[in-house]
Amino acid sequence: MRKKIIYLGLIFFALLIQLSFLSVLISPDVLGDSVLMLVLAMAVLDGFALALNWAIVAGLFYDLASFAPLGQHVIIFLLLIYAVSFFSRRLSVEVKGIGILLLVLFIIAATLISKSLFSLFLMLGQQPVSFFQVFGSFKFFIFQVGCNAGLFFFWLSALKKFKKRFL
Amino acid sequence: MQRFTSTKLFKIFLLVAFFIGLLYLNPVKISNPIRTIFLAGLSPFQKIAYTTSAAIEGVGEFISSIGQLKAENKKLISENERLLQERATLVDMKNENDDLRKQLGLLPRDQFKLLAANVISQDLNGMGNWIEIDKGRDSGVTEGMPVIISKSALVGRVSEVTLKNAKIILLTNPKSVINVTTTQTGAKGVARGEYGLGVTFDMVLQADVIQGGNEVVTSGIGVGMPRGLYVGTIQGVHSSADHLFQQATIVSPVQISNLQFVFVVLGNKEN
Repeated sequence: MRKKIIYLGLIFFALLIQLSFLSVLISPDVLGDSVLMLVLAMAVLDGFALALNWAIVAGLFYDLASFAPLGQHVIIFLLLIYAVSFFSRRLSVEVKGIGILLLVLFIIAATLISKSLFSLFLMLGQQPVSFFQVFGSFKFFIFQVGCNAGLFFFWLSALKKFKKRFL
Repeated sequence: MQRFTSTKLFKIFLLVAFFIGLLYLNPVKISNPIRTIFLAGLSPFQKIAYTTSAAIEGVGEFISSIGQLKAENKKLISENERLLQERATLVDMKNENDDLRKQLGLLPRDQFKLLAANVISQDLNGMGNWIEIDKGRDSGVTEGMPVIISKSALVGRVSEVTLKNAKIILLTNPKSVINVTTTQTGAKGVARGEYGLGVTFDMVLQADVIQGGNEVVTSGIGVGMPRGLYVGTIQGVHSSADHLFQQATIVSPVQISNLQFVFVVLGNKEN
């Protein structure tokens, strides 16, 4: 029960940070995704089975808070945690000592998956935009990866601290 | 077979299929009441977070500008002298402007019934260029209402309303198409949002005259959009790809990322 409350609180906090805090301070071209990185940190720390439920909850909350149709962010988060589970098992077995490199790979993959799907959803939503117009330039993608890396390590350390202290 | 159904891939496939179905059906009647409750709980915290963030940004801007203050002060003194001279001219021009507004049928800017609202969240480059305000259906906000700042500059229009909140799609949103006209030449067209690229003045007849520096205002054509709301200034005129129309970039005076307060135009005071 305590874990559920803490995780719900963290998801709310990530939403607040994303929509009402970072969006004012950081240029939209380079802004990362706080909720996405929280879900990624949960997937890395808790594994597929536990992260699955939280990915759905976080995705639904994100959709509600950002006026998006229900399901949009959930699909992104689900694909992300599957990718994390798939690659972490294979790479950690096949390549030893890969640690931090694997995390960086996850961050890049998460940014790529979310941006690609956002672009696709916008196009399917019949908005007159092209895929690459929404996806943006490679330079901004690199900045977003950097921003996401900062957010990811923030959430990873926060989750570890909460787990150590309360769970 | 039993093994496959218990795999992660199968679970993900099922869930993704379910949520794609949900996306396709988009059950607004179910999701809107849930969203209303959810946002009502979230918006007080959003207001605090947004205000804090805006304050931090203000402090950051102030600190970074300290070095420039001396030079700026000198510049401001000389500018003040120039402005005093200009003021005298402008008083005369104001009278002329009032006459012109009457002739063009533009509403005097203080005749809109306005509702002040706080911006509490924004997504300027994500799923659709929007901001969220802390006023909703219970304050009289309805879909399609224009949203402005400083009583004149158009920010966008209300696209979704819950009981206590509303989503405003910005002029840069690709879904935003507003009928506009230039004040100098009367050329008519539409201001169309270009994702991430600003606003384009489109569908202007080749016979019409538009020039860089022309001011663009709403033409009043279309439901709920009064005439005379300032959209921006024209920059860079060119022909459309098929050479049937003229196009131009509109530079809006609104800096969306710094917005803290906006006004929803509820209607004209006369009505």
